[in-house]
Amino acid sequence: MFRVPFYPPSGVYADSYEKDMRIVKTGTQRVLAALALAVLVLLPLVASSYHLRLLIGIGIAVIVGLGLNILTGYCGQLNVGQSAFMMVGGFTSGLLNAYWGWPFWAAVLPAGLAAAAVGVVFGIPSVRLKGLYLALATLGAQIILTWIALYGITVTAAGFSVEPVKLGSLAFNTPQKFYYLALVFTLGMTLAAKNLMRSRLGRAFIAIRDNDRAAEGMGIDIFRYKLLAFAICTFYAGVGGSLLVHYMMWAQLESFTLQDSIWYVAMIIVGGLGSIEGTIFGVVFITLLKELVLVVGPMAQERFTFLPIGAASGLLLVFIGSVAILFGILEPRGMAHRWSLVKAFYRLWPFGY
Amino acid sequence: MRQGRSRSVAFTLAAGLFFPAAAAAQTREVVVGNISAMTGPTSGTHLMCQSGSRDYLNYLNETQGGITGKKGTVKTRYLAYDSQYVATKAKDGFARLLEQNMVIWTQCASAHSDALIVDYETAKVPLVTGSQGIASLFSDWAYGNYHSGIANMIRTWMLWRKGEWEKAGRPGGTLVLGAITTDEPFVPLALWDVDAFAKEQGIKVVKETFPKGATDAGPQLLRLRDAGATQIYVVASASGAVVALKSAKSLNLGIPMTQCAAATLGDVIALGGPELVEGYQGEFFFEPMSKDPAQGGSAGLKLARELWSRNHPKEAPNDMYINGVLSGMVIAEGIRLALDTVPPDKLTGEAIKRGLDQVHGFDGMGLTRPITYVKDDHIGPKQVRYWVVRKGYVEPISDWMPTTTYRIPKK
Repeated sequence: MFRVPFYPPSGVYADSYEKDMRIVKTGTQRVLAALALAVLVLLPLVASSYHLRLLIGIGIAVIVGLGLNILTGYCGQLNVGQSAFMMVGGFTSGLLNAYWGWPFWAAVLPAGLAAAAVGVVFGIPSVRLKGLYLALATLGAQIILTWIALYGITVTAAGFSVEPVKLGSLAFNTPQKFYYLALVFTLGMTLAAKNLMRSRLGRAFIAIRDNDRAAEGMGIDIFRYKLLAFAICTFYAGVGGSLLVHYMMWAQLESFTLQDSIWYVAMIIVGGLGSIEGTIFGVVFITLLKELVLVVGPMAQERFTFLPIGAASGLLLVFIGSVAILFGILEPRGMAHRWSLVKAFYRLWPFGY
Repeated sequence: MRQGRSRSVAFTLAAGLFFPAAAAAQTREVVVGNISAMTGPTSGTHLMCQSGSRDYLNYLNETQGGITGKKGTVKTRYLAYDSQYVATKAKDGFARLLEQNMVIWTQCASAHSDALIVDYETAKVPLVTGSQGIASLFSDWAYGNYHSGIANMIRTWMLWRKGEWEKAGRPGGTLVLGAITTDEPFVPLALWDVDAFAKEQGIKVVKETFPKGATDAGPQLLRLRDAGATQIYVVASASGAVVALKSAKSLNLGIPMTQCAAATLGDVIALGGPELVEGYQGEFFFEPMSKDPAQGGSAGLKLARELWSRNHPKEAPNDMYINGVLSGMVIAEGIRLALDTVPPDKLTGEAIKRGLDQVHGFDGMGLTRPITYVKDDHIGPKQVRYWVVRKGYVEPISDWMPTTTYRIPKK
């Protein structure tokens, strides 16, 4: 019979490399993971369309955020143009579908690859540029790509309708159906990111982040690896963009703004740089916080009639900004660090260390 | 207790028998949804539209007990969600409003109406909009009360200028018109295929662009002057218009300029001050709030001003508020016509759509030109009037004239 140790394990030990490399290590973790998966699978039976839409949004943002965390958190390369790369993927997928009739399943990979190709081009300066200078280069990517979409291609300036994802006769055109698609993609790409970061590639990224000269001295080709990090990051963004336009069944420029890029950066900082779990925490936290503003803002607008028009909903943005500042002061290592402290407390209890 | 209840049931039945009309008349509360960018760069315009429709529908609730048709009365409950001008958020808000039993909705953002087209058509909830997108112009479920599509602003202005030029005896032999634009996202749509239209009309159009956020548009204006432009159309939001006006003033340009409907003359006056904006022209699809109150106005304008002063006593009046009031009026008219055929408990989105399809010659108490919705044409008033700023207020310089009805091809 399956033995479940429902007590703090006081440390997890592995006596082989295979065991050490397992993502789910203990029986408790296996049970909790199975329960979480069951909850996620059964959720559409009880959740409203609104809540499912929220979860779909979180799923897509997790995919895009994971890519950004691989580049920024693991490899140490700043990118403030992630939503522009998402746009490349979204428009590639949308155009392939709307104009050439490619189904989502055929268009999603080219979408990711197109975004990766563009990402690599904008990643080339990363060999020479670091920190804020590189951030400026990626900001340039956001501006240039938006400009091309606005003035270079007429159809992307106006927006166009995209077919829903179809699997045989099943169309993923409702939140209830699309939720499962988003879930599969999110789980799959999260696992891929987790594994990738535990591989030789991930270790090379971390070495470059910590000290690129030392990494080069150890034989890591930093040009190649930095470009690879850009390619992986923007591939994730491209797949996220493809999912987004097929989910909305509409592709438009306004879905990929500089503001969105900033939000993605905020998500991985709040969640924890260089942490897969942190990305998920950050996306969920920021999304729920934004949702709070979206729901409470209009209510406040209606109730506090003595305030000028727009002041009540605008004040809530001040609240979000304040939360972000407090987070930076109180937990600069992100929610992932707080989570690791909780896990350590659970494992070591009743001892303090 | 039981005896009392039996008595009241008997009384109701008797009332139903002897006064069938009274028994049939029912009152119900229906949800009118609104999705607007309440935060972010476009929030100013969106909030004005939202306030207008909300205040008008609340006014009907307070003064007339709601909206009444032959089969009963409904009160409206206005629920709004902030989209931050993000289409996914707009979709989330729409889903939330659907769960709150929304039967009709309104907004003032072209991009939203296009991104949500699948949603509101599937949910069978009609949209009344003060700003039409490209795709929504084609939707059977969208009803406009504003301009006839973004690409028609400059086309209609060109026809107006051509008419005036012809009246003046065609000076110069060729009509040369200028357009100065910022690089804002809506600009390519506003200028969509305009060269072909100009060629068709025998007009030469010269275009110049300056970046949004720039503080000088002098070089662009000088190039337009050197190209022989006799009038300049400004395709920009209010801040861009003020930059163009300041540059024109510093150059002593002397070429009349006209603001497109992306911003109202009231916005430009508020931002640039009456002195800078003196003589600036603009277009309105409704009677504007920035008209001098001493000049009077339609009954609709009087009501809008009253609603504004009652609900926003400490703020300066805004033209886009009228756009919102008009949306509220169209919603109320659609519901009223629906209630002529169905009782309040049968008032669904489909019933209201049937009501909106009946709207004929509706001018919002004189606020706009008559609106008639027919099959394949829910554009709205389709008439525009040009105004000029004089001493901080606007006054008309043209009669109402038909707008062009070009539609950007939809994929």
